[in-house]
Formats: sequence, C-alpha cells, structure tokens
Amino acid sequence: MAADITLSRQATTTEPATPPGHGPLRRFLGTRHWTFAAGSVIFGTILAVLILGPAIWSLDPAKQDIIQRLKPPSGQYWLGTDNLGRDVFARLVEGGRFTVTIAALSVLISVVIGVSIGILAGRLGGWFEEISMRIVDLLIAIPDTVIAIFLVAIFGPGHVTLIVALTIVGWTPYARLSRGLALQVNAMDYIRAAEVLGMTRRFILIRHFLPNLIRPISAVTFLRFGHKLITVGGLSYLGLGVQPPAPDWGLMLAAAQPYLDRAPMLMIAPGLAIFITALSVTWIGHGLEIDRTKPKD
Amino acid sequence: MTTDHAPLLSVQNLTVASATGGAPLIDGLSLTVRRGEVLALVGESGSGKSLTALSITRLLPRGLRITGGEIAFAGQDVLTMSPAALNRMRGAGIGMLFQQPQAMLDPTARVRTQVAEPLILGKGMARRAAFARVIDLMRNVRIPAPEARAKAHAFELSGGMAQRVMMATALAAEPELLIADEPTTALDVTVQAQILQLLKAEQARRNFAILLITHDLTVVQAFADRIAVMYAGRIVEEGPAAQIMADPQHPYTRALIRCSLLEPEADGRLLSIPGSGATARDIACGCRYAPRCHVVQGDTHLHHRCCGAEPGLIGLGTDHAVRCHASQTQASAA
Repeated sequence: MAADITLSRQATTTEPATPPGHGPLRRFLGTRHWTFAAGSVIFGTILAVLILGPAIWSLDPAKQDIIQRLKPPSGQYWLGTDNLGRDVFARLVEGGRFTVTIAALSVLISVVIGVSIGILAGRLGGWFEEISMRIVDLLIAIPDTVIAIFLVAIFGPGHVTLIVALTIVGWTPYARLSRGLALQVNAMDYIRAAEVLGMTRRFILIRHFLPNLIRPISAVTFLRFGHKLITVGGLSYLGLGVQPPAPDWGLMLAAAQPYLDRAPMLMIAPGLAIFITALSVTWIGHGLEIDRTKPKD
Repeated sequence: MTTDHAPLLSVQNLTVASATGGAPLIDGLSLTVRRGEVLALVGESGSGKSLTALSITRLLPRGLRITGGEIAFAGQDVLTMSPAALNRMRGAGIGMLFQQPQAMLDPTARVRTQVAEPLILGKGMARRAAFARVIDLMRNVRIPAPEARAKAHAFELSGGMAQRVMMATALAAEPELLIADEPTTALDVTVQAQILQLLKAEQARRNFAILLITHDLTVVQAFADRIAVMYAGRIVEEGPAAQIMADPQHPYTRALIRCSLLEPEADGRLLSIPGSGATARDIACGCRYAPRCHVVQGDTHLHHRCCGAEPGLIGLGTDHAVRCHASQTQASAA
C-alpha cells in the first residue's frame, strides 16, 4: 500500500512543468514570472554592453572634438556629443561601469554584513540581538545622503567614500529582514530535528539557516539594488560621488543641465540609462518575490 | 523484554518552570528507562509529556528552564554536561522522533543530505560512504525505491514516508535510547500501524530502549513494557504495562482506558472525562485530578481529603506505584 502511494507521488513530482521552447536558457526563464524573465534579459544586455562595449566599439570617452560639440545623434556619434564634443554613447558605457559597480559593491557589502548580523541576532537572541537591532533602529532613521555629505566633508569625494556612505546605512534593512526570517526558521521543526541529532550551532547556521534565507533575501536584494542605482546617480549628480573627468550617469545628468534646450539627448541618455537599469533590476526582484510567495501545486 | 541492569535513563524530581516564574509546568517528575525496554509516557495534551522529552535532551524552548532535579543518561549527568558532550549524547546516545514528520525535514535539502548529517558529522564518515549508508538505512525502514527517494525533497514525501526518513535519520547514529514523541499522531491509521510495526521490528533487532510519548492507549498496549501516566505535570501511576492495562489503580488511568477503543461503554459509546485537561498551572490544592475525578464526586469524606492534600506516589507492590488517596485507602484496607 505504501508503495502505491509513493509511486503515484513520484509520478506527479518528478515531472517538471516543461515550458514551451527549448534550451536551458528558455527553460530557466520560462518557468518564472514574466517580470523576472524580462528583467534578466534587459539587465543581462546592459551588463554585456557595459562589460564588452569598450572592447567591441573601441570607444574613447575622453576624446574631445570641440568642433563637433553638442551634436544630435548620428551614424558617427550614436547618442550625439556633449559640450566638449565627447561621444555621449562612449561616456554612457564608461559611466555605467562606475555607477553599476558602485551600486553593486555597496549592495553586496550591505548584504554580507546585514545578513550575518541579522541571522546571529535572530538565532542567538539576548544582548547581541538587543544591541544590534537598536543600532539598526538608530541608523535606519538617517538618510544616506546626509551620511554621504558628512563623509565627503571629512574624506573628500570619490567612489570609495560613496560606497562606504551607502554601506553604513545600507546593511540595516538586510539585518532587520534576516533577523525576522531567522526567527521564523528558528521556530521550524527541522531546526529542532537538527539540534536533536547533535548538530553543532555553526553547522545548523550554515546548512539549515542560510539555504532557507537565500530566496527571500535575494528578492529583496535585487529590489534594493534598483533603488541603490538611483541613489548613486543622485549622489553623483550632487557632486558627492564620482568626480570628473571620470564619467558617471549622475554626473552626466548634472553636466547636461545647462544644455537642456540645445541638446536634450545629453540629459535623456543618462536619465533613461538609470531608469531602464533600475527598472530591469527591480523587475528581477519582483519576479523572484512573486515566485517565492506563489503557492506550490 | 525487561532487563534488570542499571537504568539507561534516570530522571529524578525534575522540575521545569517558566523563566518568568509562576507554577512549575513539570513538578517533581521521576522516571527511569532501562536498557532495551519500552516505557510509555501517557497523558493528555498539556500534561508535560513533550516538555519531559525536551528536558532530557536539554532542548527546552527559550523561556523555559529546568529549575530542579537530576537527569542521568548512561551514568552521565545531563544537566552539567558540556555543549560538546551534549551534542554527542544527542546524536549517538538519544535519537528522537516527532509528531509532524514532514515539518522535521528541511525544505531546501535533499533527503539523503539530512539522513547523512549524523553520519558525516557524528561519525566522521566520508560524504560518499555516508550516502551509500543512507540507502541501506532507508531500505531498513522499508522505504521503497530508496535510491530515488534519497534524492527527493521533503515536500515530495507523504507523511508516512517522511516519518520513515526521520526514523532512518534518528537510527543512523545507532542511539541507545529513542524518544518517540507521538510519532504516529499525524498519520493515517493504516500508516500508523506500519510505522509502529517497523519501530517494534527495529527495536527488536537492535535492542535500543524507547521512551514512547503518546495519548493513545491502543498504541501503548501493543507496544510498551512499562507505563507512566502523567497528569498536570506529575506522574499519577506507574507500573508494568500488562498490570496497569488489566488492573489500573488511579481513577484517571481507568478513565483513560475507558476513553479508548479498548473498552467501549456498554451502549457502544466512548466515555469522555468531564472538564478539560489541567496543566500544572491551574492547580488549586490537593490532588490535581480531584476536580474531574468520578470517585471523588459522590463521596463527601473523600472529597474533603482529596481536595485538602495531594497524595504521594505510593508503591503497591513491586514496580507499581499510584498517586491516589482512594486506591491507597483500598489497598491498606484489603
């Protein structure tokens, strides 16, 4: 009888729902929510252009051609030229490398710090939880712009300062989230089962807590990554981040401002770049979150 | 199957209370489990059975603590053990089965990874060898197609299958004592019987002791060597299973047996005990069972006595003890 039950179970569960189309990539995207698929395709394309672009098109973001200044898009300059006659497309690719890297690094560092502290707080409780969560309460009230201004005043502007400024507050939401999740997981029976089997604390943290936290945390990470991109752009726009002549999307926006009427593409290009990149990353996070909360059939 | 060696597990005067104070949830509980025997701990929800089990492995939830008593396992004092020794005892000394087998499996890990954990960590086996051993263990607990099952995730298993997996995991490190906390309560009746037969077969083969926690007397009768009946954090009757089932002394034990399918009333209905199961917190005075006891109800003299002072646990011959004024009076009168 038991054999019958398990055989029928096997038939329903080992057969994955095959999406239309072939190939591993198609299968990877096809089983997920459309926002995840669309977001990954767009973000993947953007990353490919940012990484491979300079090598493919041999672009020089610093080369000035003062006679060709403030030109509209053309065959030679795909997105036109700026006030010094530099290629806007080249600067967009070069600037995106800065903006996306800074946002990604600050998110990554924030996740590592926040998740470690959050899990430990949820699992250990006691004074560690109390102190770390009160620090979170304190920091979460301070906007990262204020911290950036403060740090720039001390250390001067630059991308390291920017990353540090974003990380100081950036880890707090992850800490709070993973503490909550860790409390949830800690109440699960399978944690009791592992304890009963004499597993060490560290083993349980690594083998049972982390895998159960990764999905929800990765969803939130992508959602916040989109938000971070906009913040990085905003801080650079204010002159608190990347310094000229290095291009950065926020910096390009600021530099384009005086020429808005003569060369609107100068502003539209970096603006759209920030918007589309942030949107695609947010879509990835949204899709992950929907897949996670969708009931299993 | 009872053997007369030194007890494998001995709990003396165990008291468990909330860290915030209040009446103790387990109050002066004593029990012993000998090597190779099955002791059934019987009682209603809230009587403290599961807390007893968790106290033995020192895994009480946050907010509860052991405030008194002694626990010794295989001659070692559990309450003063180092964390490392505790982990060794939990894996290799004491295994546990629980009520919700599917919830006991990590949803993100494959079955074989979890069954192999005590082998790799506890016994220091290599991963590959441990996975091979897992297949054997799963075959031992009669899991069909163990190779395929080993790669499954928890949500792909039925309740009975998950409990077999838990059994394989608990027995992987070859414990001397298996604490089974209502192992069949969440399962279908047919699957319950299979799991119990399997448990009995494995116990006969390897001769480990079992502390079976249950409220189901049909299970107890088929399974246990000795019975300890718990009510509101105290043991009210304790003795050999056959003797207690045939001639229960405490009114609560008698009522429990009459509540079960073993002994339906004359008109075919099942008895229900009036009132609801008391926890150790709602004790007024005297015998904890007195407010629900049918013996006390009609007898004013007894009523006075039972509500006035709590009876002690008095021996009624070898190995049988009861905590009841009424049956003690009868015994001394006879």
